[in-house]
Amino acid sequence: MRRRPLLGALLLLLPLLTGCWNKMELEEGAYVLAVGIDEGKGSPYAVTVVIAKPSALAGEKNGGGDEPPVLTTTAEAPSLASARAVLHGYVGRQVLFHHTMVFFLHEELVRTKGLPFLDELLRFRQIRETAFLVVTREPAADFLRALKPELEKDPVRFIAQLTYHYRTSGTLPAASQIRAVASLLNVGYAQPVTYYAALVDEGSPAKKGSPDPRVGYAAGELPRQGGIPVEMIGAAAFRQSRMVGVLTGEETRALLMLQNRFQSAYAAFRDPRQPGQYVTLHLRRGRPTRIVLERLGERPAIRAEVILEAEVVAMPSGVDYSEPGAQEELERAVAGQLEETLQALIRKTQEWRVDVVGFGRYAIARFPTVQAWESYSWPERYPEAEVHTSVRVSLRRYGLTLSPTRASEEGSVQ
Amino acid sequence: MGAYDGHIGAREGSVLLFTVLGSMLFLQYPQYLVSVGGPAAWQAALLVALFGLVLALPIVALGYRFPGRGLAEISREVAGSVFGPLLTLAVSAWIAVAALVTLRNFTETFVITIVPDTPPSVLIISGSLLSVYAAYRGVEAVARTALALLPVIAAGGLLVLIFSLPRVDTTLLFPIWGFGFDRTLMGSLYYASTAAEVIVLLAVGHAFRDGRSLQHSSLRGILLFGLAAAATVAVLVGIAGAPLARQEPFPLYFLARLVYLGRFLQRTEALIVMFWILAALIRLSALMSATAISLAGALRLPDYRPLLFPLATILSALSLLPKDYVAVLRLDREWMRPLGFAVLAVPLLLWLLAVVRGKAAAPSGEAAGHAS
Repeated sequence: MRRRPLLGALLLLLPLLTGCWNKMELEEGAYVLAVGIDEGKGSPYAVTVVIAKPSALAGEKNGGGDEPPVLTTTAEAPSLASARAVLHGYVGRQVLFHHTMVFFLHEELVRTKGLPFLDELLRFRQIRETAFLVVTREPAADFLRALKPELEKDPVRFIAQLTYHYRTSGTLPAASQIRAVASLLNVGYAQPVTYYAALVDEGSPAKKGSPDPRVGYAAGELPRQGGIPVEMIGAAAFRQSRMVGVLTGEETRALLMLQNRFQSAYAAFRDPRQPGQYVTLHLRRGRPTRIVLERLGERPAIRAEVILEAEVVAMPSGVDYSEPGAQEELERAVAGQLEETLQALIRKTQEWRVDVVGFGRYAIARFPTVQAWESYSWPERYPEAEVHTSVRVSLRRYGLTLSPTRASEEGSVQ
Repeated sequence: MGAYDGHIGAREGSVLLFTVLGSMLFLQYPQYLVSVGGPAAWQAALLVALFGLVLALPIVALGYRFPGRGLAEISREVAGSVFGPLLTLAVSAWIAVAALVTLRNFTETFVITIVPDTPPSVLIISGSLLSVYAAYRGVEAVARTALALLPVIAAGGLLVLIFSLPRVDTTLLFPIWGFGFDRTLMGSLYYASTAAEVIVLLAVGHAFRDGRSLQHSSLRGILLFGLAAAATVAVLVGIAGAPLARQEPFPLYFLARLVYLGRFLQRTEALIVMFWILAALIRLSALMSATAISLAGALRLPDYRPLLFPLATILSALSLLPKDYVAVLRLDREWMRPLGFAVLAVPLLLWLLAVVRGKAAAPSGEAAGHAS
């Protein structure tokens, strides 16, 4: 009788042994942290992989020294999985994509051919749907070779940390994961956006970006000197699977506000009483953005109300906006400038015929069935839609001082 | 230890049926629901459960009429010694094919998702051996194991759903009526036989002391399954959207892969695989037991246990016959589910015959000896 429990226990262990065929020692794997996809010359794609060197990533104390923390190499192949075969010709370890966190896609490729490799990203079991998609203005291979952060050893961790800035600056989209993009490509009520990045050549001629808060900067246009030659700000907008345009950081912030995903940001606004001067505010979401679909029909009408709270961080003009009348004036001015950005975003997306905000979310609930919704064809209606926006800003605080500092008064133009 | 010793209470029975049916939620069943209802897949799940409850009523009625009797004895008593065993054999053949499909389906799922280099035959043999061992220990052991493991299996599924909630976009559940309520209704009717595995409870009906236990087990099991299915497809559609969810044959695995709470909790699919294995084994053991018990009853064998090993060998060999994963899915969707209606028609037929012929178990009678 004693043998029965023993037999049962042994049998229960049986399923665990089935994994033995798949065993692999850690030292046998070459773990790809990031992948770049460009158009190939001989094959459909040039796949650049950034492979971790664990000892170098671990730092000097663990023997890393000045050794580059990653190995970056490019292989041409029709797909990611088949690129492994090429890579295995000169990478001794088994190339694995289980830990890939970011896919960099060359803008030219996604503008002309869309996302034909998305099928593999969703199907190939080594790839996780939580990985980010980043569109790069320059070839992804060049971008990845230039990706040598100064404050981090791990270049992918650096990118991951940049993505967190959507919470603190609001200049990146809230979601750019494979899963989020794929699900939006399959529904008609919104189109996806992804992160947008660019390489910077400081010696290049004048950049396109504008210091005007209504316009802002996209990646590759930031007014700066020094630092690594890589920027990630703004967003790439897609119509179906093709990229159609780039949103600047300011427009992306407006997008977040309309999507009710804006959290907080420091932003400068033109001083209403002192042209040429700026007031810097710390903006926070006040209440959830209210979007009302007022009308469907040939020309749908939408009303969006954004409610924000703000704290003054810098008021160099010396104007005392804490005075009741002046405070309202500043609130109205900031709201007006934000509204201009919202309208610029909407105009742009209507020209591109992409509802990246997802106003369609408010329309779809009005249709009882999928057939009725599809026959209405929201993507074709959106460009004709009347979108009325309003912004309400409430100045709540004035930082550590209330009235203008003496230095500001001296510097102000009376 | 007698072959038919041991009893199942209402709680164990309902958990057993819930596990047998609910294990399908790890497989392509939610995909069926999404293909029927689109964004309204959760409605399809509830409708399928509702139809399942109606289809299970003859089993409940037979349970009350013949308490403590299994399908083999009831059919012999009601339909005679020739037609009765034939009906039992037909039902046991369906359950055997359900076991076969389960074996191959889970094997393919494991190979596709977690152990790509493991030969399918190894997984099939492991699953078969374990289910034979469990079935050998008796239905009561299988039911009690299901009850003991329920917290683990349910927590595994629930945690994945809960951690997935932050990603749910409720807009994806609209339009509210999906492809139209009429289409959802008709589609749900087609898949109503998803609950046909409730026949397993009738096949092992000797283990229930009374009709009430069988009633509670059947109806609660199906109801729980309906609720679990509705929650699963609602989260699945709310995350992937109906078009993508329709192409997702491993829904809970898909959701588990998306769980990402910073650096603290991610790659939870490694955990969910354990629940898969447990749920799959309980389902397989229950189906194997029900097949062997029905066969033994139909063939008037004194004990079902000698049948287990040959049965498992035959099913393991046959499970390798479908040429690929798609063939397994087709076998399930295009043959097993429609034939499930025929299987559920057997208790209805037996109940009608019993009513017409005025057959019922003796009121004071103890449960008759099984297959004797």
